[in-house]
Amino acid sequence: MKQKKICMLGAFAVGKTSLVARYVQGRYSEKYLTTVGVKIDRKDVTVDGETTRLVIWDIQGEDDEQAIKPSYIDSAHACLLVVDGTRPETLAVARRLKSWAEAHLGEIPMVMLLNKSDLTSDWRLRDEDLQGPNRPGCRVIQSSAKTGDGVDDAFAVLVEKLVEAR
Amino acid sequence: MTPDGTQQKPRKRGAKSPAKGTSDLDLLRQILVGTNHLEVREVRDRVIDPERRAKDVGEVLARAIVIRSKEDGQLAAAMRPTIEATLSDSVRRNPQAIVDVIFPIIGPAIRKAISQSMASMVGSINRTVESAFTFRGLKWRIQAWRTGKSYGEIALSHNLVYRVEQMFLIHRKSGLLIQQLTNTGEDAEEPEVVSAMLTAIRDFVHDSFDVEEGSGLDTFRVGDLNLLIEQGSGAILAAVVRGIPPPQLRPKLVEAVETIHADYQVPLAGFEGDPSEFAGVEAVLEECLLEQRKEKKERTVSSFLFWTLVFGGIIALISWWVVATTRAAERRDSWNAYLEALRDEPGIVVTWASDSDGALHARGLRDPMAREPITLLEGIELPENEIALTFDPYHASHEPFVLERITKALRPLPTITLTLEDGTLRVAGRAPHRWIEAARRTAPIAVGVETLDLSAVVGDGRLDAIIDLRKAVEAAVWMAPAEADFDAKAAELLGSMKALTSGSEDAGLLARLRVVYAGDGTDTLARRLFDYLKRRGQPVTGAFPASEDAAAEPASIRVVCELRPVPAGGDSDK
Repeated sequence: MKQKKICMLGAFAVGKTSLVARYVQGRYSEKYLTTVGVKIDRKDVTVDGETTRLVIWDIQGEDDEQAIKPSYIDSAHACLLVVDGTRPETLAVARRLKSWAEAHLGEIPMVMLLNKSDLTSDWRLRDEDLQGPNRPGCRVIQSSAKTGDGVDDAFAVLVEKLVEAR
Repeated sequence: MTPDGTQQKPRKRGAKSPAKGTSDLDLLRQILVGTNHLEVREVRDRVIDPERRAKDVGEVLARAIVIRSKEDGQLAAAMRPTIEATLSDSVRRNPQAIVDVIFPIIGPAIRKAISQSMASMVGSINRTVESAFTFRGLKWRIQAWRTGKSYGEIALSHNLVYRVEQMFLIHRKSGLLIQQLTNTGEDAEEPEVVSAMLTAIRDFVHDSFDVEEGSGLDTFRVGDLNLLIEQGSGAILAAVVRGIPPPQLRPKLVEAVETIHADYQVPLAGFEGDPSEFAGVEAVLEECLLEQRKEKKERTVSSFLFWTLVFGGIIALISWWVVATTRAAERRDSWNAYLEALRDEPGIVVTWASDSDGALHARGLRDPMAREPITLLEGIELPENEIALTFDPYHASHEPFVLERITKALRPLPTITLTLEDGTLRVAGRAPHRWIEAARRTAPIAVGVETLDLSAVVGDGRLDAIIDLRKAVEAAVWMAPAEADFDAKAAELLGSMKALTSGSEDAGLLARLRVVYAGDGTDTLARRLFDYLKRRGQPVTGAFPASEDAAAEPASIRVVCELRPVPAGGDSDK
């Protein structure tokens, strides 16, 4: 079975681990646990009759990309950039992380998740933050690890891109 | 090229172009550039002519393959698709050819695979059986139960010095799993996650401690598991070892990493998560699955025998105990049933009984008229010779016994009936006067008789006479009478007998007399009397000679009288 390494990148406390838990185990916990280093999960997905095993590297959230060990993203096949929609500064972090990852890995499939979409009253990201000159240069999907909205879609888009790239 | 070839061409050309101008041009060319133009033409011909080009390439092809294969694995990678396509095409078109080729090797390969798996299965069964029945095996079972591990795991951990339980071949950069093998018969849990995590930990340690490139986490230990990591440029080999890893394992891992890098350089370099590019790598990993068992204690077989004997002995003992207890219980039940029968029997009193130490013993009292105690054993399964009975005589006061005793004592004539009811002895019928007197004296002192009822008895003088006669007849025991007295005494006895017979008839009784002789028949006088009475119509029993037993006794003749009521409807049965 083919395997693909997928890295979760994003600022501190944007919900990377919760997104993985929602995607892999289908559950969500209100309890916050910070990830130290990296946590690894796997999930099998079948596209066009071929099953691929996703090995998901949930990397410790860092606001400074220089603090992330490059070896963690070595040879990754795809990246999920996670932004906290209630904290616009995490979008800037995601942009930096994207450039940093691209410098290391070259052009690979990436998807940006605007997470915590269930917190509508606290939502502070504006459309113009992602339009015109501010376009992030990859697919953007709104998500909520709590409700599960957009989570499977985001991974599905990534897998689709991986299959296309094959 | 041979020089012949170079010479043939111009000739052909000359033949095809007979024009003079052409040969002049050739001549000029020869003058200007010598023979060089011929060599150029030769080279051009070799390049243009496909036949010749193929021939040229064919000459160097083998060498070229050798040289390129030594440099890198690109050639193999380049040829693989073609070879695979050719092979599959060939199999599709003409499978028989492939069958013919692989037939000689497929049989032995299958046999080897089967015998290997059989051998390992038998080995594992043997090991399990060896330890399953020992005290040690029991101990391990308890340990397994206590720790929640499987028995096999516990047994192995005790049996093994070490065992390489798992091998991981990991793509170094991505941490993706290329291949994983286990030696435990169970699939590892999420080997991809283990593989990635292992890589992450290694990277973490490497980056955190700023060690040199090429060095890093080589070993770590969790409980009795040791992880040995050997790193190559493209892949990492990790061995999970239970127990203490042997010194020869590390060189083995190094060798395996080298082999893998040599054999799979191209797939490693371009690894994109497809482990199928590493076909055959299991064989390399398999060589690293080493294990060493502890020296087996030679005690195993004998201890197995010992425990078998002990268990056998215990089972035999229990069986014997069960059988013995059952038998003893049955015997005791029979004994109790017999004692019950004795107690229920009139005229028998059991005062003490014991079955201690297997000896059955009873003591008590028994009326001589009661049944023989041993006859009560009928229907009870108890051997007669195992019972000891001691009974002292006594007179039971049960009415049947009292009546029988008093009847024996009073000896009533058949004209009298005796009944006993609630301590009252009733006498009815005709009786001699003297008998009534005797009864009046005797009966009240007999045990069990409280009152005597004589209201229904009638005195009859004739019966008194009969009693006297009976007495006289019965008293006359002839003990070798003197010769001189014989006639008189014989006549007297005959007279008494006749008087008794006739007197009885008068009194309504039938006298039955029997002359009984005892002796060896040599006594002539006794015999004479016997014959004398017989000739005169008296009923005699006995014969000459009589039994041998009687020989020691002096010969004697006596008369026994039995009185009966006259049967109804007849005067006499004579």
